[in-house]
Amino acid sequence: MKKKTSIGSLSKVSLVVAALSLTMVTACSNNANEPAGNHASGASKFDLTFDKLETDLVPEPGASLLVWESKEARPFVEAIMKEFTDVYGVEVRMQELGTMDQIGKFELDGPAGLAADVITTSQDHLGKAASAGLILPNDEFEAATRSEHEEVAVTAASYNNKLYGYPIKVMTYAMFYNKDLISKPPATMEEVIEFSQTFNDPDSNKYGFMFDVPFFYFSYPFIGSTGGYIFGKDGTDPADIGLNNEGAIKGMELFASLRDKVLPISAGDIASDIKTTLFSEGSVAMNVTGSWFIDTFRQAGINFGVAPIPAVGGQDSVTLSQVNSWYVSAYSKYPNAAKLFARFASNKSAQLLNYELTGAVPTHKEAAQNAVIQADEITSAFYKQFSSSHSAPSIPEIGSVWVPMDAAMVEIWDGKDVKEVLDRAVKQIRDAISLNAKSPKPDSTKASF
Amino acid sequence: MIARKSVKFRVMASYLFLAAVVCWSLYPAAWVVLSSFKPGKSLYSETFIPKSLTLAHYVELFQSKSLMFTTWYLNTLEVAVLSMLLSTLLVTITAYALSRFRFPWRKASLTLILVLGMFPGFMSMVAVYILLMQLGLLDTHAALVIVYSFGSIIFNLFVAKGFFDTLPKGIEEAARIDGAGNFRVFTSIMLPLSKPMLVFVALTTFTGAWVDFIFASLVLRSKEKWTVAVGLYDMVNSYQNAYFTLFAAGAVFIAIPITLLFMYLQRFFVSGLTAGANKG
Amino acid sequence: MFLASGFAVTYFASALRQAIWGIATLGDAPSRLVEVDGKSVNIPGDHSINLMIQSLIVLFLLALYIILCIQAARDAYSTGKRRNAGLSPSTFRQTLTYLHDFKFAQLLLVLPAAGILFLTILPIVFMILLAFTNYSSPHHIPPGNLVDWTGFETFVQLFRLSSWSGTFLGVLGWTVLWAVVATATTFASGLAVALVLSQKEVRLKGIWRTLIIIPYAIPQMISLLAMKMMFNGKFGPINQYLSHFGLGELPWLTDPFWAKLTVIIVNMWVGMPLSFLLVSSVLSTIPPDLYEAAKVEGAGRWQQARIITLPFIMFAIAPIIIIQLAGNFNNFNVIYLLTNGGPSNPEYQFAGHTDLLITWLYKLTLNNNIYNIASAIGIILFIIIAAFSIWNYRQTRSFKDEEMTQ
Repeated sequence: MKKKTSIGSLSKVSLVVAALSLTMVTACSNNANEPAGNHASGASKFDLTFDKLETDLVPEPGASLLVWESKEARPFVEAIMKEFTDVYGVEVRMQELGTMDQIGKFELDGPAGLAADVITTSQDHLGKAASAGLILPNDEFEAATRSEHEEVAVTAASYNNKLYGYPIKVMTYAMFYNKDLISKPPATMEEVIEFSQTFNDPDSNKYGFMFDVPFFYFSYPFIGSTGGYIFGKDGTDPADIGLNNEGAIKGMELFASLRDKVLPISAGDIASDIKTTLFSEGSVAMNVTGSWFIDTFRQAGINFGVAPIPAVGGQDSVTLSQVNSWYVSAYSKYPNAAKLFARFASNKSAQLLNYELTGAVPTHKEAAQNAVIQADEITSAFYKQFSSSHSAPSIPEIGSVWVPMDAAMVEIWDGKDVKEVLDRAVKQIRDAISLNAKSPKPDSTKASF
Repeated sequence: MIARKSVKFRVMASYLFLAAVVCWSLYPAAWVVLSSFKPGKSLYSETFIPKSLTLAHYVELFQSKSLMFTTWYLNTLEVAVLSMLLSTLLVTITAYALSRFRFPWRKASLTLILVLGMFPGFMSMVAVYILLMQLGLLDTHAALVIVYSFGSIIFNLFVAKGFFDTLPKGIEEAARIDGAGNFRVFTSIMLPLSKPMLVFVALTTFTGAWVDFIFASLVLRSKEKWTVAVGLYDMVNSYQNAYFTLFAAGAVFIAIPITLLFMYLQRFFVSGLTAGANKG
Repeated sequence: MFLASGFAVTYFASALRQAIWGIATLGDAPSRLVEVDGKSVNIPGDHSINLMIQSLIVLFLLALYIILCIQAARDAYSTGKRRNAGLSPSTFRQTLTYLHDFKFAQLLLVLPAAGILFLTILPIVFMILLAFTNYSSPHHIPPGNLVDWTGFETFVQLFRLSSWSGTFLGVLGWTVLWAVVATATTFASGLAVALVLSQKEVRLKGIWRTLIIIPYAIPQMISLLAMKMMFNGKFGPINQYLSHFGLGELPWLTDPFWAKLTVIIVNMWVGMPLSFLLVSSVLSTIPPDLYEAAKVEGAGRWQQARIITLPFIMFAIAPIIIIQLAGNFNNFNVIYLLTNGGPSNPEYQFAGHTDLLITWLYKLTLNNNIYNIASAIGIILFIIIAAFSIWNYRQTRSFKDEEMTQ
């Protein structure tokens, strides 16, 4: 008898909970088809023009395009899509996909005919995509692209000396600093060390300077600034690895010294999102992280500024940068329309629009010179850092670099000998690359095509 | 007298033990729930109960244009229920056939199934993808239901079979003597007796559909078709700015149907448990 | 049957040739970009991997068809015999009844078998075949490049690089240890909780059970990420509580030994509800008369547990434990999300102290796109697990006699 009632009440409770959650779920449901709130036309700070491009290329009749871009870029993409449709009459749709995931999905979806016509990615995936024959080169607008965009961006969008991409924006990391805690950003790492000695208070989680120690990508300034590099010949020669040369060793020794003086935490415990939270709460004075965090800190209400990372070993700090570009799918049914869109959406006006709507840092030389952008403290800081950065290599061999170097960062931070660790890491990288090496192709008389 | 005291002691100790287990189980869960109310994107909070609470993530979950949470929720519900039904059916008939009948290849089949379950799954996904592409089943929920259901055979077969093995043989023979054919024996006698096992299979498949994102994100292309797991994973994975607290909010909603289903299915446990309990 | 045959023959006539060509050569011409009027145009070519899979599908269908033919032939033969003996051949209806009465099991198994054949066996065969190709980045990724058969070269390469085999053995050792300990702890904890909860005197069973099951209802991804944060050596709450009580901070995730311990503890948290559920369902089927009889004979509680409960549970669950053991060998989630294989081990190539073979495998494929080596490692991994499991399974009573001593 007792059992029955307890089950009964249990199911009553569950019914109520079920009903409640369902009503909540449906009542608060969103209309996913609501139009974009932001429209460029009208309230723009810039003098934007959207015209037909100077080319003979015309979209195929009945063309419609699918574009992949990340969530963060949505406001820009929707705006530029509309402009494109107004000018060319071609319908464009957008699907959200993180830029890091796009190539992976593209490998499967492209040949299956399900992929977008125009995708976005950064150069570390370019090599893979190009050598697999998944994208079309930027041939139609090659000359224009080369002359209009920053050289670093053009190199980043190229592979094997062929230009594939239509550069959109630059992403790198720099130093965010809390103006209430430190009014003038330090210019050298030595100054950082000095500041931290007085500011640090581990017991209340206060630190002067934090960065993502266990990630080679973010710790790169300690290699790149003092003469190290990943691959030689501007990142195209996998046989020439500069990660354990003298310059790299010097920089990493400074890196190792930071543990005692600046950030006495074991590498595995320096979690990126904890660092973000601490900076957002005002416990950390300086935080090295990427431009994609600008919004987060704004929302947290921190009075922050951005400056280039302090000089390492007396040299301007060198970060790794990524250039996001549009790429046209080799499987697109409407390659002409796709190429037009890619070009249209990476023009000067497009980049200014992008800056306005999402704060993106332009790659277009003229756009970058624009007065408004120059006056924007944050964007110009990132731009400054970008101009002294190394572009992350685009060759596929870069995939073998991250894991061993991440491990190396941790080991050095935790006290192992710098030269030994770096040498070992480079050996691992070489071994991994040799596994991928081209095996002698059987001499086949391939069917003539 | 002495017996009663020792019983009391045992019962007290049991309750303490259970309480400890529940604390241990719920602490991380509570952390997840609390962080869904915490401002900011990180799960980290310096205190257990966040310094400030906000409903912003829940609002975003339902209002954001990038997220179609309601649609995903209903999608997942559909896939989960269908998989649950189909898999229970498949597992039961397979286990029954392999447990109660003798035929050539039987032991070989069992060993084969055991062995198949040991392959690392993710490498075979490309093959399944192509297979589905050939069948035109990409980007459909049917594909998910089929793969989940057949996949669950591999994992649940031995649970179900072990269960059937423990049922006494006498029951079937009695029924057959009474003239029941194979099919009747199965539906009228074996099925009702196997409730706890059915519950187990149903629950695991149902849960699986809610939490799988690896396979689902491979197959489902259009955002309208995504399941909750795919949507949440996408949110966490995009860029380096992972939105964990939103995920936590979503996770709370995922936990609800699973917990409810379990509460509902519990009664099938109860009937056996009290009967089999130790006495005195 | 004739209709089906006719259809099948025409299908196979065309598809089979293509399939055999496809799987033998894996394509002759890759997709290429060709200059047309100064602009690049993509000429689609042969996609090696797609070809392989498509060919496999056709070959599997062929195998099925041949089996059907054999059955049909046998059936025709026996029908012929019956005719010769003067009996009328079975009608369709009679065949159905025959199937129902004497081949019920096989009938039941048709659908599951077909599904498993295509959805599980086919992909596994594909994976095995991959290890014998050179499908890897950057020079052999379709569709821009062809993939070729290379025989055992992949395996040779794997063992030749000495640093790799060192990693392999080390990671293997931990994988085995992990699998055993993880399975044992989750099972033991599930068992303990189930037994305690099954006592008659415990009230509110429903509520206890629901509370215990909650970890299972939360997607592993988020709970593991939360745990990762909780165990953070510097900022995590667990260490904060410890320091409050003056016990000092522990390097949960950064020290090789502690990381291994943490991983096991967390896995126990994740796996206990399921074990609990399993043991509970088995407990619920133990006939109560057994206990009655034992009680009448004067057996105490511990004796009852030892003689009735435990053997019963072990009999039913032994094969499941073996499966869980094998499953833990490949338990990707916990390790990947909690430690990502860390803390890093300098002696290892691309692997850390808590890496399992499967997470190591994943890192190799994800980062370097060396699919063929990843497959090769997967095969070796599988052989080890399978051999171990099959041997164990055949030893269990469940397999041997399959009769409960009643």
